[in-house]
Amino acid sequence: MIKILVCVKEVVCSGTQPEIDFDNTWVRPSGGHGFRMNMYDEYALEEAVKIKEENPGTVVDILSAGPERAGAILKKGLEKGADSAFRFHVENGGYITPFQKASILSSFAAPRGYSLIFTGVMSEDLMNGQVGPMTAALLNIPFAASVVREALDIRGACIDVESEIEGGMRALYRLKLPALLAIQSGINMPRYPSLSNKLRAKYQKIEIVNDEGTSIAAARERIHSICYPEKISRGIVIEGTRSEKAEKLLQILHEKSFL
Amino acid sequence: MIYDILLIAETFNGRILQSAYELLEFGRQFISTGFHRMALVVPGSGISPEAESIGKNYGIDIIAVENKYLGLMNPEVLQKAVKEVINRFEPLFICFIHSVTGSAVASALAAETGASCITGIESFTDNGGMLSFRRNIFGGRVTVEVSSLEKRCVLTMLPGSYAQCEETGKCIPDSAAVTVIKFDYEPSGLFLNDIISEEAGSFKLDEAEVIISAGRGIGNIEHIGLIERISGIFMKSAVGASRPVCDMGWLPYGRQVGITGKTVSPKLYVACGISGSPQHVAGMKNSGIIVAINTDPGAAIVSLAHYIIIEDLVPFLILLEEKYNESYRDTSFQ
Repeated sequence: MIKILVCVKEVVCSGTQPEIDFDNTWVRPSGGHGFRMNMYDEYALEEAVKIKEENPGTVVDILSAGPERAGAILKKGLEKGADSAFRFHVENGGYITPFQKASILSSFAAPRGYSLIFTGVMSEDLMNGQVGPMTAALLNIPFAASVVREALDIRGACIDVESEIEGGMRALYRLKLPALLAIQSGINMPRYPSLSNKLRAKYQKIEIVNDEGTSIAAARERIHSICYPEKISRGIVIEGTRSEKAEKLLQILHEKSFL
Repeated sequence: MIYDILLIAETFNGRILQSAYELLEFGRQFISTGFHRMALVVPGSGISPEAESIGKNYGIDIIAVENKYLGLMNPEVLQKAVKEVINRFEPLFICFIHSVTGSAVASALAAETGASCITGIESFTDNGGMLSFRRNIFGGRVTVEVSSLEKRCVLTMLPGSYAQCEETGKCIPDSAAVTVIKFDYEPSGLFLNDIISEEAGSFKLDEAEVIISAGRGIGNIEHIGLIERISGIFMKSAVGASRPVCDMGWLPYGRQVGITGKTVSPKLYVACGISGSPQHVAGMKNSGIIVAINTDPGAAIVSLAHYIIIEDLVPFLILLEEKYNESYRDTSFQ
């Protein structure tokens, strides 16, 4: 039987300006917008559920480290086909470094015998791309980042993957199981939850995996200042009606010999 | 021998990638902080001669690490190779380029060696002895300065953040010592079988002089034709895309501009409905003239662009095409 762990993170829904909390050197949790699952993690979950469909008996667990509200994305994960959901409780707000996250994920995963661990390639908000490789390093298992295709070979205890590298090239790797894959967007089309899964998820409990006051690993970095990027716009804003703007742009491009 | 900072070059099939020269420029500026014992680490296969010549030309110490699996940058072998180099030379800072392989290996290495890890940095600040590294988050809408709490710190530098270091004989005042390490290591869990190229499309993005790039703001696949027609206005032009547009299948990945796609520097780059996440910007910020067409004046691309048009993308492009047909179409190729 194959056991897969998918690690998911909640991100703020909107693409608008986050509100900075200068006292806490971080952003305010929501700023009036809701939360949803990090897009890359959605792809990671879908890939795990696809493996489960192709290999009956496969178990897909889903884990998030976050405050109580992160239960919502875990429910969503159950609706989309995960078997069990786990939450490492972290007090509201605040910033957890990628290393702290990786420590949480790896200590959860270590005793549970997963053959595969999936993460998103990065989070949409922080774009560190560290949690996956760090978790693999702490578990001492092989990893591949930016995975855009996978083919599992259960009998051979390995997985073949295609990973994006630079310049539009792709690397073809074979990883021995257990292994961690950091999944890139576009690998599949994440599904909408089925009605039966929605009903099942409704009554399913999310297991809290840490006791109150459990300490987490010490941070190795510190955000010591936060600000909105300086608006050093060197650019010229083309003003006028829509039609005038179009004419002005064409004129500029003509003067610069592009037309 | 001990170094304060090691810059980790990337190589491919026995050649040093251009990003190494950006790392050198970062290093050249970094030594002003007082951490001046610096070396360029060049992992690869049959890479030592080219590494040595960079050392001579730039006046920087070289540590070439030879292993046949480093010819195509096997990440497991790269991680172990750099770890070996760290053990020997005890650096305080290790800086990779923020590529897919570079950032993943940097992160794993930091976790493995107890170092701090700051990825995707764009610059550094020396606050009287305390160094902090600037990176952009939330799609470029928030900037943070991060500092290390550990003795050793692993960094990755976002491509395009520093100009390529110019070859000035002694760009970096150092002794140009060369160390070649024959690193004997066989991969045990991760095997690299091959490198393939994503389909390139009917043109070459990196050779185009004008790129009209589509972002999520184009709304749906039906508007790709409009982007193609606008591109057709220009000579030597190509259509590019941001990652979400490729993910949605509106354009093939071969047209993606950014870290996992192509790095381009055309004479003209028109960003149509592209917000300008650091991942995308790293692939196009060195373009000659950047035009941003966006509904959101707060989008990160706006602060980068030379010409900014705040408009609804699709109606604006339709009008632009009409105006072009009225006034320029017959004259442009005379």
